[in-house]
Amino acid sequence: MKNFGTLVTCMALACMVSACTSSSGDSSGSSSTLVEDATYGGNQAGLGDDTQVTMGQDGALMVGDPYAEQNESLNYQGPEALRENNTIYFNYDSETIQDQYVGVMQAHAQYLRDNPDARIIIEGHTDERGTPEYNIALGERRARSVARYMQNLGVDVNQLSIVSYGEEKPAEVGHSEAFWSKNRRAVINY
Amino acid sequence: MFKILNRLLLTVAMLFLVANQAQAALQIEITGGINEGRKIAVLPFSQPDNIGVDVQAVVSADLMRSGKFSPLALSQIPQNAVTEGRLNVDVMAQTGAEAVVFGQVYPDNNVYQVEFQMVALMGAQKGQIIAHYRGPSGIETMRQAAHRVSDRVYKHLTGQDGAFRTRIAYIVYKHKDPYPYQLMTADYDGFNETAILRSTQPIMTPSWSPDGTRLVYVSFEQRKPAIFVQDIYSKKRTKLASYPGLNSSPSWSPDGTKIAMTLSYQGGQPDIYYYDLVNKQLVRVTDNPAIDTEPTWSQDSKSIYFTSERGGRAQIYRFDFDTRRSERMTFQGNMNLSAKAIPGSNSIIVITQQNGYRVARMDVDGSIYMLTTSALDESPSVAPNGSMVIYSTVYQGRKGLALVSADGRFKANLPSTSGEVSAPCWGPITDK
Repeated sequence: MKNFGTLVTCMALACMVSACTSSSGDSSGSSSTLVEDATYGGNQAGLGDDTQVTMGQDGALMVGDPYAEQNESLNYQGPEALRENNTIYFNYDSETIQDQYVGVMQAHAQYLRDNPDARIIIEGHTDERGTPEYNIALGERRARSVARYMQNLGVDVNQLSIVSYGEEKPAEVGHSEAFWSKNRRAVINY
Repeated sequence: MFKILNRLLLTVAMLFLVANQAQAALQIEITGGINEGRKIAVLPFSQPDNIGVDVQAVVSADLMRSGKFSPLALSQIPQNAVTEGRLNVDVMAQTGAEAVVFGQVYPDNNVYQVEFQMVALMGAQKGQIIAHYRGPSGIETMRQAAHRVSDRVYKHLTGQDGAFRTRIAYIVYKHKDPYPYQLMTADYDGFNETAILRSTQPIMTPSWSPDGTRLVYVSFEQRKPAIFVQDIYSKKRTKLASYPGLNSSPSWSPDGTKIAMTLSYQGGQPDIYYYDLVNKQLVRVTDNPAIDTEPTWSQDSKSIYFTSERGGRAQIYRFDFDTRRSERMTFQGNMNLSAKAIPGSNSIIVITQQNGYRVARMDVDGSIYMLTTSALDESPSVAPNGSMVIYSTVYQGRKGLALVSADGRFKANLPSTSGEVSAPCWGPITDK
């Protein structure tokens, strides 16, 4: 059985868990790690912990600001030319970036290299097939795939963060391949 | 003539009022196994008009939903079942029911007494009272009192605890609502729906504490996933995890001491961790570059089932805390996901990929028994007595909940009166 480092500093942002982890070793596990990936999401642009929380008339907690989110598109801070061109679609159960999206990726990468203060959040999404928890992991793999590609195009890792919504935020709601192909995607947001 | 019409209208209006008071957030449409259960008769209870609950209707519906019984419809109950306060055993026996339940609700000082008797209609005990019970209830808890009757009847006839006084948690998505994502709880039959959290962003994977007072869930309210624990009564909550990357799939251990979850902050690889609520410490369970997720607990809290891609496609594995090893559990089917232990059984429930994604049961010998014929099933959750599985699927073009018995015979859809419903989690039995 492998013996991993007994104390690993926790990189949580606003984590109330005590800041240490102890490894208990998964015997069939492997120690190979992708160190560079750990930085994604460590510095999420514009995402503070300032979520609005109120209590509704029925006693339920209400979180988020519906008004702010309706006007989200008004707050777009990316390049105007890429406003409508920020989505990369994937084949079923794949995180491989297809050739037809290389142009889009290069355009965003160019902008990010020219504007070192610009930050993007790459959202990973899946279709509805499979279970929600598994799909969250698949969506993260898609977002990481795009992030890695951006890094290979010379974008600084600190300009990139990722989030997976799995199957929770479909672009199109429907229950056949015509809809699913629109939902297997990564979206670049500034 | 007018008088009669007026009275009729008044009655209709009153019925409407009662129906509105007791609206279920989830309807029930039986899609398989009707009339296959054991026949039983539940006679209308003698009860005051003001208690707001038709006890016979609640008990009958409970027994039917259990998948084990086919209660007689009111129209199948003979007119002369009871004459001058006496049960006509021979008349009732002709219905083919094995037993008859009858009873009354009556005022007793400041409360009501709910009383029932069950008489056998077959076998050596024919004509004998085989169960009886009386217990107090206020008007506001009358539905629970009716469910308690169901629990007693069920326990007596099956030897198994009833799960009729349990709550379920689920997520409702209401497209046009300013807070479209809503975490709700309701009685297992959809009554008494209560909102716990409404959000502008997705909520996922609610999981009950074993005492039924708290829920752990994932919320995207900060535009990134975080795991919260919330008290369902005070609504107060604590953030448990918001690491970079995944914070997903929380699952409370049956002994109440740990919450398992999937995190990916170490090396970007989704692995299984748990938060130890006693020692207030996060502990890593798996370390594998492939996806490990969907941790859930065995009944004794001594092992964790999880989904892993370490062998290629996603399959179910089990990590044993004694041996500290992970062992592959599923070998049949292209993919198996979302394992859930079945209380009182060595089998597990999984979502298996075979002509779509379907709820299936894997028995100890490794064989997989398909329980459904739908294609987009997910989020199975097993009733605390192991009898039924509630899950999310797509029917009539919408996401909704459905029920299937653990033996696959009884099937029902639970269409919602509002929104698309998913991520059901069946709560514990808290009151015996």
